[in-house]
Amino acid sequence: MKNKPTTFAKTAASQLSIVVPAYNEEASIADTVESLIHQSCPPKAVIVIDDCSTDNTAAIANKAGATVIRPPKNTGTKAGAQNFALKKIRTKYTMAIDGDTILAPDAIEKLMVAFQDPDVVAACGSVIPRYRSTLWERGRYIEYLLAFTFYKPVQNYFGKPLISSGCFSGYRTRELKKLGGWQTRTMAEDMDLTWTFYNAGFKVKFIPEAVSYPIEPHNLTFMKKQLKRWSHGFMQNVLLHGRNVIKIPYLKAIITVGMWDAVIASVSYLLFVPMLSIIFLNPIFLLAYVIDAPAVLVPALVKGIERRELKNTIMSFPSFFVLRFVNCYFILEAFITEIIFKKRLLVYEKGH
Amino acid sequence: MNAGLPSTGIGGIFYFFSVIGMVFVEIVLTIQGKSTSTRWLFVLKQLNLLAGMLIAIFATGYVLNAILPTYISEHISAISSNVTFGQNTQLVFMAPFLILFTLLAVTQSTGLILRLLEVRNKSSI
Repeated sequence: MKNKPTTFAKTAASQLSIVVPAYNEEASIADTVESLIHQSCPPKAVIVIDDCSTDNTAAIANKAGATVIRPPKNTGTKAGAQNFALKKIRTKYTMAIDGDTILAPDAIEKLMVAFQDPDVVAACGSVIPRYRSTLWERGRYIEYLLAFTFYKPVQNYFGKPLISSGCFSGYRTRELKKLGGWQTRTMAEDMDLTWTFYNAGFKVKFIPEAVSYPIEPHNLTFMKKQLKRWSHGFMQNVLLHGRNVIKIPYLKAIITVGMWDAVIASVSYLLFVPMLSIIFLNPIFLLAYVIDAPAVLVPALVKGIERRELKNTIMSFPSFFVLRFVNCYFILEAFITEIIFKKRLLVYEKGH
Repeated sequence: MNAGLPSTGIGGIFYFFSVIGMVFVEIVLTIQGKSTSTRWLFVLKQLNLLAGMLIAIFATGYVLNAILPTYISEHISAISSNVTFGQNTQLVFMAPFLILFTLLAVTQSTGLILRLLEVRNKSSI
């Protein structure tokens, strides 16, 4: 029997405005708006920012029940669109949802409970790809099962989830506005905002029971755009926040270790392992690409069984290693471009 | 987003130690009367995951140790035919731990130095 929403969750949701930045999202915006309006704890307002779309995004969002606003010209980034809406928000809480993301029916109810702690200014939920048909979607699925089952809960235990994911996060509006909203200075505005919160002494919480389902890149063309943006965003945030986060317990360790793996493991994957195979004329060294497969499989299977998606998890598992290989190219490219050559990626490209 | 490569390199080891650290933190909180059964359930769940992953790693190592030395000796002539995975393997396995601890020590020291410099700059203003 489903539990009734708590009083706190209901009250909090009634003081919540959701911003949904959308540029040419006519294929998915109706589903997004409907999933927000039909929550177990519905929000006070759902605001779709039609960022000068050239399709029917605005009309479809309006018909689905959202309030649609439109900036005078295209803002160029998700952060820009969200900030346009933030100026108009007067509710106690603000939530940001991507225009291609739907939420589980109780996601808002589960997420808002995080704000019972007065020191928490941001809360994020779990992310599961909505569609899992192509190799890339499947690879991302396993990646998320691993991250949201093992890594993120551990980060959360020590009070430092690395990112409050941009596709589904809630915030205290006052603190969000005080810190300038979502900055457009990096390609990963969600990471920038999260680390800014930490630097200001605020708490961020991860609520694994609050689940969102974004559309992930379905082919390599879109996957490349998203990975490029994410990888450059990570490096830009390391450069921007490095001097501050190095003083923040546990967060500094996550980032240091992440940077080391991003660079050294990528070099190993792309250069060292193939070189050994060529030098010794033997493919046995390629085992290195999958040597941790049993270890990765454990949390993926645990979560897959919990979600009653065991078959899907097993079928998707090999895709993880293909995606990881592609991932290491982009993270290494971002390191070389942003850190060594100091050339910033400035153009924001969507991943689908 | 997922930056870097999940589960590879020293990241995995770092999270393994984090889970072990969680147990000690929870013991301290229990002594102080600040822990709850919900917290312990969560810690035990992560510990179970860790145990499962470690069993998987050791099983992989056991299988590889059974197959690789013979395979390498037979197929890779550039490597000594007397190759064993005794002390060499131990060194290879110790390397990521040493790298991790060195990195964390450098990070901690850098943080401390930056804090001290900040304090010094503030006091000289």
